[in-house]
Amino acid sequence: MPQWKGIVGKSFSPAEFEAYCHTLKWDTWRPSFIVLHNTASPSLAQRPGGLNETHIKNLEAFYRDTQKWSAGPHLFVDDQKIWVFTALTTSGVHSPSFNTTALGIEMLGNFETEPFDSGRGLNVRQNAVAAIGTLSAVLGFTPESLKLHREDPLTTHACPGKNVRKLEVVQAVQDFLNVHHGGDHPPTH
Amino acid sequence: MCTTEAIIRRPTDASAIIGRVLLAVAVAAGAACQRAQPQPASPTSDAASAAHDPFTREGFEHQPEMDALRQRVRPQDSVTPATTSWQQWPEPVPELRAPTPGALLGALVNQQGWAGVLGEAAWEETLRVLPAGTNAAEGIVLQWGFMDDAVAGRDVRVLMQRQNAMWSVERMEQRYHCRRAVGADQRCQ
Repeated sequence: MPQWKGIVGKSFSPAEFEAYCHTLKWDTWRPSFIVLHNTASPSLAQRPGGLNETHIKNLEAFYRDTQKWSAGPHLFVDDQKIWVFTALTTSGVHSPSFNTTALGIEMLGNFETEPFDSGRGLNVRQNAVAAIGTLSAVLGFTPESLKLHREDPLTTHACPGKNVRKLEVVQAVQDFLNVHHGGDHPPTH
Repeated sequence: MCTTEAIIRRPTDASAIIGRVLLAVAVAAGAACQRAQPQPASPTSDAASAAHDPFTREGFEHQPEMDALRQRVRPQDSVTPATTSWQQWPEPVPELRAPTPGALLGALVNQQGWAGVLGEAAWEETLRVLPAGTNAAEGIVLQWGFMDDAVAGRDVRVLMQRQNAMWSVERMEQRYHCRRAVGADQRCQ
């Protein structure tokens, strides 16, 4: 079994997450883009209060003990917070073609069936866009570099669900950058 | 019925540069058939034991790692690992020829580049051949341990036929082993 890398296990508001990202240094591993996922199971309906510390600990056990992996995705984003799971400065495990080159962001929800443009799904989307926008600004990614997990050519699946439309997310990230970073996405580290 | 099985594994440990190759069983088809005389049905035999018999149809398609994954899952993981139904291969079948079914299956793996991802994107690949008379055989490629949070593995079933002393692919099908759940559209979520 590969050695488990551990988790950060902290949650942030979008503003707190931006401040946190500015404290990080990508000296040993530097990602080139972001891959967006949804958890599918659990769905939003299965987590009516969003994620809490117990859920995150359970997810750690799931990736470490059930899947026998060295790491998991980098972020879990729900309708209230942005949870940092695998450290953003090390490679994670989430998408076979992209694990060595990309950050993985999991959105809580099954967006094959749950709405992504209203209610709690919209809140998840807004937090995910903030997380992607912040990381894009800090690491110098263009919004267009974003990939959905279902774009991985090695596997065929429905992640994230069909209600997550890439062009809409890319545009929302661009809008976020325009508002919060003057449209720029310069690398700062 | 008889099978020929080869397992190719590469360790995921990043420190390992060269993967190890394990040829678990490489039996001549004739000898295998001799040993694989059907056993009389026992009132106590069940599907579970048949699934582990290497010389049965159940054994031919059985992915034991999926059983192990199901057993490791805990209720708090909120997932239901499951396997999709068999689906038609989405592309034209490759035009390959080989002197034996096993050689044809190996050529298919090489042509598709499936072994190339071992050690990075996937953990292992198992090949099996199930003869069905002198001019027909089925092969299966069991891919397991995708570093993918939705898809744990894939089986590719290959129907092969002999003509003019050479074997070729007649039909291919695939199914996926899903870590979290199978959706209504028979894709991993």
